[in-house]
Amino acid sequence: MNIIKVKTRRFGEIEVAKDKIINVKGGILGFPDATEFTFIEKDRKDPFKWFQSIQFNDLAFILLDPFFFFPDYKVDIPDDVAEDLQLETIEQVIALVIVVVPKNLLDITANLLAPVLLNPYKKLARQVILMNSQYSTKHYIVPRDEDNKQTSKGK
Amino acid sequence: MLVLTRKNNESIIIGENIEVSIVDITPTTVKLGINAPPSIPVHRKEIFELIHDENIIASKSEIVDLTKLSGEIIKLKEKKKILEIVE
Repeated sequence: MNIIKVKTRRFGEIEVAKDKIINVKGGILGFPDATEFTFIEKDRKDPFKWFQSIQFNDLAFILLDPFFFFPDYKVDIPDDVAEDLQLETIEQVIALVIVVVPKNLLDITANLLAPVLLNPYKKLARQVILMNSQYSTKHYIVPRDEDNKQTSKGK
Repeated sequence: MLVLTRKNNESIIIGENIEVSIVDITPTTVKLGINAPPSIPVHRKEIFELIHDENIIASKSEIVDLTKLSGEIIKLKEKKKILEIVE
């Protein structure tokens, strides 16, 4: 069995099968050395998943399936990303977005401008900055009264 | 920092395969053309920094139970919807 033990600050020691390790090309922006991650999920149906670094026990992100709350979200996959992720067809790609969860849950935001694109078959991922996009790094998941319109315009 | 003077339509080469050319100059802006291999991402610095900073903030998230989190958020969204209908 190819299982490694990984110490994590949030989840204690976890066991990760080697074929569940995702290689993030170039790392997550700001963390260039964090290139290996694994998903931690309790329930597969949850739109949120933890993305735990294998190399840095303190480093983990909460990723969200963007279509769960932003059904009109659109991502253009640049050619070099398709190549990097060894995509055979565009349908293979899974887009996930990084969320910020503040103390007040009403203020939870998703970064639609820089999704993490994943090829689950090859276990390859990359954080991509969408070019010429109207999305921002902070989209409220729970719409706010004042910028309700703005959020829907951003799609 | 290396500083070079270039005129309109002139360019510089970085390494062997990155070319940055001056496409247009106005009194307040310079238009750059960049030829680089697809593996070299090119971004406006302020966007790069924005995402860099957002990732740092995101890495500090502490909530562990994500099933509970999505439940809470769906509830909050429902509540908002009901309020809108009532209004």
